[in-house]
Amino acid sequence: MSSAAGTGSERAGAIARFCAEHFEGSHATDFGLDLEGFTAIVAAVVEHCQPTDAELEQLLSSLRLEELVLTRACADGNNTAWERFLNRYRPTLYSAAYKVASDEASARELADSLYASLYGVSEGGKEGSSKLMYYSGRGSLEGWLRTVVAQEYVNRYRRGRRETSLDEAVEQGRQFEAPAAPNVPAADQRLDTALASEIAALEPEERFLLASYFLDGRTLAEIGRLMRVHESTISRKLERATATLRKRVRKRLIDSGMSSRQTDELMQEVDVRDIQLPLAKSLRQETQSPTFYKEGREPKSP
Amino acid sequence: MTPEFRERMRAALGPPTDGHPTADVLNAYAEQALTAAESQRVVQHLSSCAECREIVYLARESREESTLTPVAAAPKRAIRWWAWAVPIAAMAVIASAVLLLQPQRASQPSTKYIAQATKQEAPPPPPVAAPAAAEKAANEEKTVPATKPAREKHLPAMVLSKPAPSTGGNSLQKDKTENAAAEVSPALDAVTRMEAKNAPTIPQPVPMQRQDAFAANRAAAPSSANGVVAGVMSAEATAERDRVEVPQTNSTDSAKLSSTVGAALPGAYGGPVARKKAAIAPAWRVTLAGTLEYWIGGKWKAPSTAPDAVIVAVTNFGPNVWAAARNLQLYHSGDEGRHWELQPLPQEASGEITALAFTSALDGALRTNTGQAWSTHDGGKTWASTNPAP
Repeated sequence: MSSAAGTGSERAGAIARFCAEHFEGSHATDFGLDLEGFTAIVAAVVEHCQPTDAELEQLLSSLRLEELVLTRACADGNNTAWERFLNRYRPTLYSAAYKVASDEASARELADSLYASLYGVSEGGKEGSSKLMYYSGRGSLEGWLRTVVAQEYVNRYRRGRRETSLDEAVEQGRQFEAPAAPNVPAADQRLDTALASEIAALEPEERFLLASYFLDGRTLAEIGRLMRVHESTISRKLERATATLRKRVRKRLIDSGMSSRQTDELMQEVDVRDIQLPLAKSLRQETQSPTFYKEGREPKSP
Repeated sequence: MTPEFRERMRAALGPPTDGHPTADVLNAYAEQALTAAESQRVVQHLSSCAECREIVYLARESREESTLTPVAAAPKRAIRWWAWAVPIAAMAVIASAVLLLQPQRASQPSTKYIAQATKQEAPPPPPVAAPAAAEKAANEEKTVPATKPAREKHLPAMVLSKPAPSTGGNSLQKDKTENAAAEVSPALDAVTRMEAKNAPTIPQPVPMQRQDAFAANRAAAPSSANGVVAGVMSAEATAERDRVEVPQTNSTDSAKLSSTVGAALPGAYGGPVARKKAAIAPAWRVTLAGTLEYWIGGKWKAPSTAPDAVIVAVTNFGPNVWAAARNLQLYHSGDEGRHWELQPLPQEASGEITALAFTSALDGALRTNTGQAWSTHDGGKTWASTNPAP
């Protein structure tokens, strides 16, 4: 991770050189910041991100300095910075809230509360540090604001869900799952175990794709937009992942003592992709509330 | 599916053993601004954390359509040209054989076929747009109430932009607006619809002083149950803040005002030629950053010169462009935005301009967020109040 103590001065020198070179382009002077202050901001980001020596240059070159300086000046209470920030990004904040939230009232509430936290007004109305201090300059400020809105929405929903009592849930007619049957066929257990183990052994990206597609019900286009690849690429990756999974599960079952015929019969009876369907349904019932997911959207086969 | 299996799956796919990534890290991941090692850690977390997946997808999908990053098309396979050579050659041979076997039919079509072909290929007579017919059509269109621009589903509430209630009423009353909507020209209505679609609809506030925020906060009822929202931005506090905020462009106001101009300025549309000229002139819009852009060459482009101010509304008629900026500033350009001049507004004007519309090179109207309505008949040089006397 971070460099050794001996290279600390070299790292500081690299940061200083970088800052001197990019100070003018950052428009830090618009907010009364001098080179020293600008260097301190960049150094703080580097310290927070803890890049290796090899990654330092990449990190520095990827920083959005103008937006970083703007956020720090806003957090410092600079009126010019606030005016610029509001002109550019308040629409983003509100439009993101209106896209994320389900209704207009909650969107307005969400955006207003975030606006307050960006301004540095903490819960209870006390003055605190601005949330803008958490922006590191990696990625766009607009994207960061959208992510903050989404995060706040999810957190808020989670908070609201915790406050819902069991009685209220029952009154609302929520159905709870019946206890499972005590006797489970041994063959199914072996299949379940093999499947769970092999899913855990997949590459993280493959598991992310499987979870997005089968558990969250995301479309290929949505996944593609997030990963910045075409949806057909996602489709191919998903097919490859499920094929790999099926192959490995079969091998594991054979290794555990099942004959090829038994394995094929079992695999034929319950296909790996079919298994995902009840799995997704069960996970959705137990761990996720319907608000996180669109009702009626069953996972699909790629 | 057995509960044991579910437990195993939950262990396999989560919950995450590490803490949740911050919004900063999630955004940097989505924008591919992380190092490979960091990105791998985030993916590892995302694969087992449904909530963080929800956040990244929500954030990604909340982007405006116009800012969506075009995804790269899947790499195409190399076209094997020779794979098509054989079928194409075979088809060519067959076609040649057919032509050779039926030379007479191919070279001398009967007059019947020629007549049919001529009949089929003859284009329908172009509609002759006689001026009288055009005027009649225009009059007929005037009798049809123009539909209001459809409000987008997720547009924010326009509470910030609503003008303060005027005790004496003003010319923008509901009945007049409806009458005006009936008389608005199709060209202007189209421009209005375009403005309503393109213009930023989010109000732009003047930065609130920190003391003001706390003052508003103190005024808020502390007993509300909504935590930070209720404590900081209660209805009263929001209303208080809304009064000091300056709205930028309000598409709804613009639409209403355009309609109102039609009512307040009868016969102001300048005839078909003027309307046509206005229709072919480039459209203008205000960006979210408060700058001007105009439509040229299939894309929006910033003018070479623009007023040095935060623009809140813009309208144009032919080469004439009027841009309203903050602090009641109105700029005019008579040459499609190449040169700008400041047009003074009356001393009595107050608030901020919320809507602006011109129906000819001379006739226009504007409205402020204090409920004032002004009209001009000399291209914006002088303005007269259209608010009824109290």
